[in-house]
Amino acid sequence: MKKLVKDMILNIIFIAGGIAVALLIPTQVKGVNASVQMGPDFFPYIAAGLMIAVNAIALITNYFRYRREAASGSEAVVQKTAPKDQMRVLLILVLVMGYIFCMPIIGYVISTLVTVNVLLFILGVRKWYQYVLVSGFSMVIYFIFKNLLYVMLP
Amino acid sequence: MENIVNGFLSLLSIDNFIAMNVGLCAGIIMGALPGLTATMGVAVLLPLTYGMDPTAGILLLLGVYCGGTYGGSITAILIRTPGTPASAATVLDGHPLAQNGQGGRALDIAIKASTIGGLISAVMLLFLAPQIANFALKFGPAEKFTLALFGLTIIAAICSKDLLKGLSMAALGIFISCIGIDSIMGVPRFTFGNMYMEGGIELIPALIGLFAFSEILNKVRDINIPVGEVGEVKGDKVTNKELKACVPTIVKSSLIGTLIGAIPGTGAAIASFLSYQEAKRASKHPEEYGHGSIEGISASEAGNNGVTGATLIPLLTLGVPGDSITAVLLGALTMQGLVPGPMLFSTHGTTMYAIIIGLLFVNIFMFLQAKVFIKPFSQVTKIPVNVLIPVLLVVSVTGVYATNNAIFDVWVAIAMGIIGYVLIQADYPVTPLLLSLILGPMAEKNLRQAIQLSGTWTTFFTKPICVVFILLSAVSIVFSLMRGKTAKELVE
Repeated sequence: MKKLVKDMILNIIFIAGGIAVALLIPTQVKGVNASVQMGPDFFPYIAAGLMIAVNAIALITNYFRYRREAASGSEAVVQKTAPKDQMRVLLILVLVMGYIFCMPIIGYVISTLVTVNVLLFILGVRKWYQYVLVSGFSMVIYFIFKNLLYVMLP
Repeated sequence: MENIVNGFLSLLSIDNFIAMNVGLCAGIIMGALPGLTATMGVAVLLPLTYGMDPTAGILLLLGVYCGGTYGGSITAILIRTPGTPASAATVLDGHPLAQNGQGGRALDIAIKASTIGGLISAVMLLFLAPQIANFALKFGPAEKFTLALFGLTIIAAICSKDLLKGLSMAALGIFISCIGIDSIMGVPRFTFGNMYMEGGIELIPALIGLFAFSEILNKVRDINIPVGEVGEVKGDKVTNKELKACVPTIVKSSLIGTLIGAIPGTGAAIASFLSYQEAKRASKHPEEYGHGSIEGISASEAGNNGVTGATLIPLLTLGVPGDSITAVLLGALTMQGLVPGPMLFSTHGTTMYAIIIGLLFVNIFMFLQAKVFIKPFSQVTKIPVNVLIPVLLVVSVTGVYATNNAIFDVWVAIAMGIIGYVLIQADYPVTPLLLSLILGPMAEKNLRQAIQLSGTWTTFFTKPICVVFILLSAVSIVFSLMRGKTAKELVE
């Protein structure tokens, strides 16, 4: 994808985000009092306004730059990540989310041991001792946090 | 004076020295591993300091910071891959020396220059910080607001190649900082009826998400990209004559690093390159730069470690973090009950001086560790990335959970990690987002208090300190626009 097109898409997303924030403020920020000069809704409006204004300017400048570059044939292209690599990221993300979801249910130890071993497999690790080492390290972390730092892990 | 003496005496405990050395060892390893920055090291190890004594905890993290900043030079020299952005300039002369079988000399001058740079920076911190803190005691809400505004604009302007992207991230950070209970009127904002959201988005989960999780995802994506093999470290040390010849460069670079470090929004990478360029400009043999100049390595390393103490100046005295690492350290200090700001030296003077003097010892221990363990440290890159990723994940998740014993924080970290991963790929800088999370509430609270006290906006234009900060904010924006225009002209 052309770099400027990607930038313009993100500008639009930010503008939409800013508008969404501005629309949410009346319902999500309670206790606004007309007699108070600067209430709890002031800064959220500043954040929304800044997001919209900055990205509107960026969108306009990117659009004109895109037209200029398209006319001269010198558009910068974003280096594409291979679909296989993006799928791997997505898979790991799903695994991590599953890990966090399961942790309070099945406990820290089991969820962590399962996750790290599955993760090692997905990442292509095939030496058995590396599985042992990483699992062992995870238990060392568990020991440090539970017994030395007195953190109540699930 | 009494505080300095008490601070020095309280520093002299075995726990503090162990903490420094553990931090240094971890930091050098993290810094040496390409892609793992000193920031990530400090963020990941921060939860380990929760149960520690404040001085020991902060010294451990400072050890990670200084060690991480130096550690990047190891792989920069040996395999032409800077372990941290701050060591990018070291590649230019370090790697050619290593290719000629003189990696040992390059590493030797790197540690000597780093140590001297760190020591000079720590001394400046020791003398300047209390003076600035005294001055900052005069700040009222109006001054604090304009200071936060200056911090926000300079970070957005300097942290990014594109001012508009930096400001977008700052705006996003300000919005995220509004989530939770309003600090002045106590009303919920953007909580969507969720009790966990009432606490707002905590700093530690956000920064571990932005710096650790997003980097883990980057590593997963780039798992097939090979990293060079580190061979044996060969070559003698630099001679005393060579070192003596580099001293003026090292001192000048350290001072440049200290000056750059004291300005919010800059950082070790800028200091390193500026020091290198200045050394080349002033050198009697500029033609040697880029081909294995010992002086070039000393300039870059003294510059980047010269930042380490100086970045603590705005943090400790004004409560304004200058970069992502000091933002993490702010979180650490706050968790230990040491709220950064002008009052810190009054309320916790002994602890502050213990930490500042401890920074001097950190640099000395860094030198000793590097001299003794350089060969094992240089082998660290043999750890396969695909083994490192699960380790980092476990440490990060556990660390985030340990903040409040809440799984909600881990979800926040994941969400911030995804945001960071997506936006970094589009060249959006994450540092302005993180720093806005810190400076946004400071700006809002002080703005509203200032208006309530004075009843008018003109207060910001009648108080001299406020006017200075507003002018500096305008200058930083203009500077960023000019820098962007110059870069564009160069490309065209």
